[in-house]
Amino acid sequence: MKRIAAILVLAVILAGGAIALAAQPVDTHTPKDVIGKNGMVAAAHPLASAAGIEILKAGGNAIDAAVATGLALNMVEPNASGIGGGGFMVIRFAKTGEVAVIDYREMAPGASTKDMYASEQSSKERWTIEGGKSVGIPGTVAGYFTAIDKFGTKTFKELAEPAIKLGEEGFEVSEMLAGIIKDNYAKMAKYNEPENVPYFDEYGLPLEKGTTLKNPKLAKVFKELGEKGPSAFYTGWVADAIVDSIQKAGGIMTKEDLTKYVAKMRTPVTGTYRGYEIVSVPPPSSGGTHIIQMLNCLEYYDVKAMGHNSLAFMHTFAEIMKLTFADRTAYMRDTDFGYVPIKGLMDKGYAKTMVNQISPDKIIASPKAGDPAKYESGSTTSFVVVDQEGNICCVTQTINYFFGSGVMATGAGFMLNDEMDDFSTNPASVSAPEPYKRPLSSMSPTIVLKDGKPFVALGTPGATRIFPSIVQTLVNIIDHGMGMDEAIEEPRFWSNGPSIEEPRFWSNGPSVFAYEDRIDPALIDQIEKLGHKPKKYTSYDAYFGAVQGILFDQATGTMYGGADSRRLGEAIGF
Amino acid sequence: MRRYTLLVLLAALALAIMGGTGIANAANPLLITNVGQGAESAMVNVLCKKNGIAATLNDTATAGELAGPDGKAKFSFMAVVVGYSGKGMGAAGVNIDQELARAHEVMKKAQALKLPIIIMHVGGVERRGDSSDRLIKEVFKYANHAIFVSTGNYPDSGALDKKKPDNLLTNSLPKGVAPKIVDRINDVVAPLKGIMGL
Repeated sequence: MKRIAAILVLAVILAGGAIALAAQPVDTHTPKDVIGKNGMVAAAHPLASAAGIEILKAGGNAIDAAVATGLALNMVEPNASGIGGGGFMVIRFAKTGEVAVIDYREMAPGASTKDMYASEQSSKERWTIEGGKSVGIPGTVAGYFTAIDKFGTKTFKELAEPAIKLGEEGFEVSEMLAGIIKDNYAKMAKYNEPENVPYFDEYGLPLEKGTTLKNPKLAKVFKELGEKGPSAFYTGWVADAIVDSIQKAGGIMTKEDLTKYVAKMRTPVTGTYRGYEIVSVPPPSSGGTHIIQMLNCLEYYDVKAMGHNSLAFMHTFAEIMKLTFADRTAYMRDTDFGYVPIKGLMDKGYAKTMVNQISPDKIIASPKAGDPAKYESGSTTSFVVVDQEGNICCVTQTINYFFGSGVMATGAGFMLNDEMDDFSTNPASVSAPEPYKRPLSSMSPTIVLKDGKPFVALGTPGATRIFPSIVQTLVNIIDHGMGMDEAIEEPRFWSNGPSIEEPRFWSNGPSVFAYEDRIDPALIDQIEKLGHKPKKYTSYDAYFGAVQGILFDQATGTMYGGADSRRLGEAIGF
Repeated sequence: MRRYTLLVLLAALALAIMGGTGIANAANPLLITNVGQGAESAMVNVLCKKNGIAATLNDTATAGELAGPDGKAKFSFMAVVVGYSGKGMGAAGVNIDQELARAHEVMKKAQALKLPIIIMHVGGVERRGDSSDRLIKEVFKYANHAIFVSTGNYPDSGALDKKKPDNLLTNSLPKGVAPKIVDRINDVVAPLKGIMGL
């Protein structure tokens, strides 16, 4: 009897504990790897990850699931990407080990000129950032159809079903999305009639947390794409809506421009870091090249012995970033429009010339671009999908700033990009706009191999923080032995040398050192003493990106998914 | 003849009344400007459009933009939407000192032009905090009229029912200015129309 009473008491205590635990707010920042054996999707919104998983479970491959995830993101994370934008997709095929890169980056309209943003009026009226002049020719639809046609197993119609359901039935607006809608309300209200913006309520005001967001107009476009293919986007009423909306907002894009868009197959850039093979995106993204360049530099240091986010590491990596950004400004552009010394930039000997400039006790006041030619012999979302066969599809895509240009294709339910902002406003720059040129990107979905087998696949948004954040995450895993989500959640920092407020203008000015405030303030004091200019960000700040990644245990075949709490990321495996 | 005289007198009286309330600028009845660069000025502008109030939105209006070539006010009323947004300030390329300097200049000019100032704080408790409070303390004194969302009178965004309002908004107004207090931003149209005599 005593025993039964004791069990009852214990049960009550345990039940009480469970209730108490359930009542605790969930700490989204605590590292939590999601485990899977048969397939996994790590995306910036749980409903998007679920859409990809639905396709994998229905027999689709990683490419199919990636397209479904991307389309769902257009519904549930409309601020960051969608069919009004562009991106890059890196695919590794398990059977052959081959890697394909699909470049569906936007292109400049045909009437673009090198000096189109050089005027004071352009700067004052923010032509590169909002309104019709900021919009590049969208590439996402062409990219998705290229992926499906070449490598997929299902039709667009099948892959769009989860997204169409989200658009028609709606989903609950999160606190984060409500805040982003409010932050970007002014530009959306400026360029659109309120009733055409699905992110506004019946009064024309921003949707609030807890309300339901539906987007039946975008669902209708997805249905038409399923029936008619990409021509439903690049010609016809959707094309009319795109061009009319852009031109009403002061833009120069024409219907002919839309018909000229092509997605391109690219050869990936590859390098090594401590025996791991790095495979990433080539120009027009600068990201992959610079990831390899920075890892080459770090290979000259005993990063593990330096200590995680130690003074020595933060100073050294900040200096590497500054030198890398100097090269980015000097050399990086669309390779269809000029030569880029990619091999030189990724050469380990060239990295040595960078490392030789770095002093342990002071900053480089005026970092200059190097001469890599001597060694010749780069508001977004990112997601990773792995299927049962082991194929990997790693995607980063964007409409640039949150809610892009602020211009919606009227009646079509999607926001158009402001990717023209990624061109230089300086007409003399290698990255000045030209007709049908692709703007320079930092997007760098990346796959890392060990002994020829997948080790980790990852990507992140975050503009020019993208490739430094990927390098920091890789260092956390490779040098410090962290798990996937742990490596993602660790505090990050960033420096590119010029003014943080206007990073496009290389000023050789004092080094701004941007950091998350979880980094020890005493170390930040010492960083400042070395000459860096610290700028504090919040503890888990989306400024530093939002890495989604999958780590592979080669011995057991288990996958460990991590998704960044700096946004609403969630990995789902099965 | 008497009839015509009466009509002329009535017309003159109507014009005088309209001039007194600013309705003389019927084409430009309302300028909406912003102090703190929050998104609420754009929201007020959309509410005006949807409810038939002709308005001009100029978030960074300067003193020089208030008068026409004749030196008279171009508008009948000026709504000043107050609330600090770091992102908005960054986008406008100004810091809080520059924003306040512009605010003081534009409101002093409005007073000189006898352009009635409607202070609006419609972002509620989200537009409270050190920076917003500084703006409130410095610019509310210029108000001829005021419209608030009620939660703006609370000091921070903790559980509102457990906190006492500090009534900063109400207490920062000049004596004699009684605020119109509404529950939500979409309720501001009726008091705004009332103030404007529409």
